[in-house]
Amino acid sequence: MKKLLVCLLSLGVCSLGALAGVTPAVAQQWPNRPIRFIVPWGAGGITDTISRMYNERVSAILGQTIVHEYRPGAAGRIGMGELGRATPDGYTIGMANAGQLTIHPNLYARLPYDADTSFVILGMMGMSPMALAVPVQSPVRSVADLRALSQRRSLNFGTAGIAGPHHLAAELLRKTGVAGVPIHYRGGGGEIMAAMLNGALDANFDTVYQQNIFQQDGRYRILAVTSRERMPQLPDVPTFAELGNPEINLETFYAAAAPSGVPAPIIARLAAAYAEAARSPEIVSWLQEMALTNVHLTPPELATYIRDWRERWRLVIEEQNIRVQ
Amino acid sequence: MTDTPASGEPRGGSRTNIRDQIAGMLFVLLGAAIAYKARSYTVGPPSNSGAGFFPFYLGLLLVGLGVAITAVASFKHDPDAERFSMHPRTFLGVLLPVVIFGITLVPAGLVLSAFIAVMLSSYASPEVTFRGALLNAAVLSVIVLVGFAMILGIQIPVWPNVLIEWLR
Amino acid sequence: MELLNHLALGFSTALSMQNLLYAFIGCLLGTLIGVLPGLGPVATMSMLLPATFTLQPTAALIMLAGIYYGAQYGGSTTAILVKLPGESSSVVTVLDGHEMARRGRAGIALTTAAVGSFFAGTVGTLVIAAFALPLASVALSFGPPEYFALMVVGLIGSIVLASGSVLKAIAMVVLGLSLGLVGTDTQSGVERFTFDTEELVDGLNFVAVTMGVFGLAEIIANLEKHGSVGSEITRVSTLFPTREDWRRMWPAILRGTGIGTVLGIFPGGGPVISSLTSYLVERRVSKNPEEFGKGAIEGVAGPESANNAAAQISFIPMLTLGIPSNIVMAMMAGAMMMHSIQPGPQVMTRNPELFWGLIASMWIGNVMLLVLNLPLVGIWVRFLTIPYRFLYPAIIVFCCIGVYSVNNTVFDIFQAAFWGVVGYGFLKLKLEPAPMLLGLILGPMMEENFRRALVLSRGDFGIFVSTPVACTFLVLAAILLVVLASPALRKKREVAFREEDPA
Repeated sequence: MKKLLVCLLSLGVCSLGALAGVTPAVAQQWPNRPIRFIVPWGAGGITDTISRMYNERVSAILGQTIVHEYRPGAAGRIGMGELGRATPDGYTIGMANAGQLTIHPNLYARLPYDADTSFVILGMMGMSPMALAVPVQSPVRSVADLRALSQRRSLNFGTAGIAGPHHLAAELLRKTGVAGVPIHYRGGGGEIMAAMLNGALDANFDTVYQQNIFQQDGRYRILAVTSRERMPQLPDVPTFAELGNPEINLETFYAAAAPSGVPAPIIARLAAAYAEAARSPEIVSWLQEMALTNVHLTPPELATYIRDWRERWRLVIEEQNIRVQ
Repeated sequence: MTDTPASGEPRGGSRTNIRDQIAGMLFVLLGAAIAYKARSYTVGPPSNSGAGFFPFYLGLLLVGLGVAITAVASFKHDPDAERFSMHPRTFLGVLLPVVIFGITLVPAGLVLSAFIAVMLSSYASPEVTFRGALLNAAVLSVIVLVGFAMILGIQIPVWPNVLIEWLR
Repeated sequence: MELLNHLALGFSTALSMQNLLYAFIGCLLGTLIGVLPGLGPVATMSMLLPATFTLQPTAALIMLAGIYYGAQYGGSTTAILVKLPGESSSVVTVLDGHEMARRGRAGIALTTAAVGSFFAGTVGTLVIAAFALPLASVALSFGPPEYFALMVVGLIGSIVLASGSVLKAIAMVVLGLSLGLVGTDTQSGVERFTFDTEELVDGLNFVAVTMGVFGLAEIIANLEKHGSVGSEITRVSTLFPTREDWRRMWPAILRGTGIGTVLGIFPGGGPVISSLTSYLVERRVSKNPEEFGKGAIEGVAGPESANNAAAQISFIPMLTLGIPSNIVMAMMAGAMMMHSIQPGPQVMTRNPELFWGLIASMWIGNVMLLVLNLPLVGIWVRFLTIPYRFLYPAIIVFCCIGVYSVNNTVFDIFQAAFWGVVGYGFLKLKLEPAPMLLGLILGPMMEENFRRALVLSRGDFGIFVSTPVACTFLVLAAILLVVLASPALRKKREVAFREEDPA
């Protein structure tokens, strides 16, 4: 009987939509069945790994299984569209990244979601600062050397795709007088490293984690990092701010998000669960090993954070006249 | 390139290879469409080519090849020119279940969709009786449920949405 | 001697009860998902990932590696039996493999594929163990001009896959190239030919295209003949190759293995180009080239060995540099990251038991697959004795599920239906889809590297002949083109063409 009542109630809620206030009973019962977590990328890889690290803990905190669903395609836009359209009942949440929320709205006239209104960002899972590196055989030892070299000849910068963070970082650098032609590689890491080593590329931006692997291996030399503070893995590498370019400060991010319209009590519980997971010692030490940083912000603070970044990218994209359509 | 020496006795069929003529003309049309659409992207010179460069010239190449195929086909007979036979029943019987499966999968789930698709596909073959189709559909639905959903555990909606909502 | 010590460490790791078990699970699962049409390793992630999360990294990697080879083995099974290449590298196997099956030699084709794969896998493993590091540095020295030149060789070579008109085959390659352009252009970010459909932004779904033009079109064609083909296939004469078969198979396996080992170091495209090259070579050296396309055993033995050798060699970038060259390897990298092991060059020194254990398990996995697959040949062949009227609905449904599972989207199911219509048109117009599929696979890589090379050289075409490797490939391409157009071969092709029974 009670089950029938709940069923009727939830049906009612579905039909009335998110606008009608949800009865507290439903919010209290939540979560009484598994939660879907949409990863807008393929399985494996860093996005999947981060989600799994977090959701193992979040699932323990909420006492409910979290099932991962992969919706790859169009650099995460397909999955984000699906998350935005999902029933806002707290049983469908997912991952959101810098690309879909802060960069794509400035590039594409038509998106399957509205970066401002479709989602509530529950919590930051990790942020990935970038590092500028040159091949180890290069005579360049510092950002100043690179700038001097770029005045003598035109440089080649490797990027993992147009208007991605690797590319935008290079464009930010261009504003400080280090000019270069961006060369885009679909596959990223491997092809770029080959091109760096055989001398085709002069420099590239990539995540600190990736660059550090190649520096330890004696293939790359890291010149500077885009994080706010020095990275613990690279205590000797300066930040761009220290070098007098505080505007070159960027990190991509991995965040947990819910479709907007999820009842406030459920949002609060989800946000609290992700915040608790983010502070757990295992996650903190794992993030550090992966050269990821994190900030602990509430959903409204995250909304502001994302709006600010979107505006920053808009300026860069307009100034450099980056177009994809 | 394919001009068969005229030594071979014509084995019936028309004097021109209609099959190849149709293929050639389709290549011409398709190539033209590709080249036309490519003009809306930046073409540019080869040394500084834009997004439209490859599709534009590939389209033109396809037009050229299409013209050549049509031309060659006009001067030779079809080596085995049996009549074009179309069997709309077979054609629909194979492709319609695929489309219907795509439509029903998300709302109705894997098991029901597989059942419907197998039932529909029986239309393709006159050998399948209604009872045979029913049996086949039932067996396959179970195989699909056990194999894909239970053993392999692939990500796919299994049961109808309505049923899930009702059980909740 | 150092190598022997390493291998000893590897085998002592891989031969532990637990790791053997995971290798077996991986091989079994891989074979299973390989033989289900269209279902790739990606589809089973939701089940596998939690497992890799809780397992020891060595065990997880061994299982994933097993799945990878298993899927490769299984992919050729469907290519031979029902004309459905599960992996892009089995497209070539379809040509003669399925023809053998139609002539009642399915069992022999499957055995040939299994034996060839096992031999190639063994050689590939040895090469990895002995030369992983030097080979990795060779791979790194290739740039856009080399890749572009290699793609040109591949595309010209794919014309040979068709048995009919050369002109039509060229047109199909060009069509495939054009289809490969659908999606986002890497250099400019422009979305081409997507018609405002987000699902097309990453290009056409290869599995959907092959399902349509091979699988679904084949079913329609078979049914149009009132199921007579189904009963034709059931004439299974023998399961095992005769002495004559062995004699013809061995040289092809050896050559295929050599080709795959050399070309496998090109990340991406390696297995496909290898199987294609092997097919070309076999056809060229064969005393009876007219048999190709009609069930020549060399046309299965060579390409299958080549693509398995290449698939094995393609582990090198991931093992030595931490660069995954496909989805399964991305998962392996993920499994290492979860356990805080940095995938990359340091694995070999910091986690030697993992590195050498994985290499040893590669060989063990190949043995298991051989042992697992030879008895299965009998079972797979028996599937063909099921009346076709019960078989084809199953193939249709499995195809739909497989194609959905690639990206978890029903859009791809509709795509498959569309390509089914196209494939049926090809059948009626006698256009052969294999060259088109090669164009579709190799085209994007060719365009990308062509344009990237010119951006790097600031528009100077000299870059394409600036290195010996690129020059060699371009000369090879030119020779291939001349050979294809030469009267001698044309005559041979025409003989083959005319001798073909009116279908």
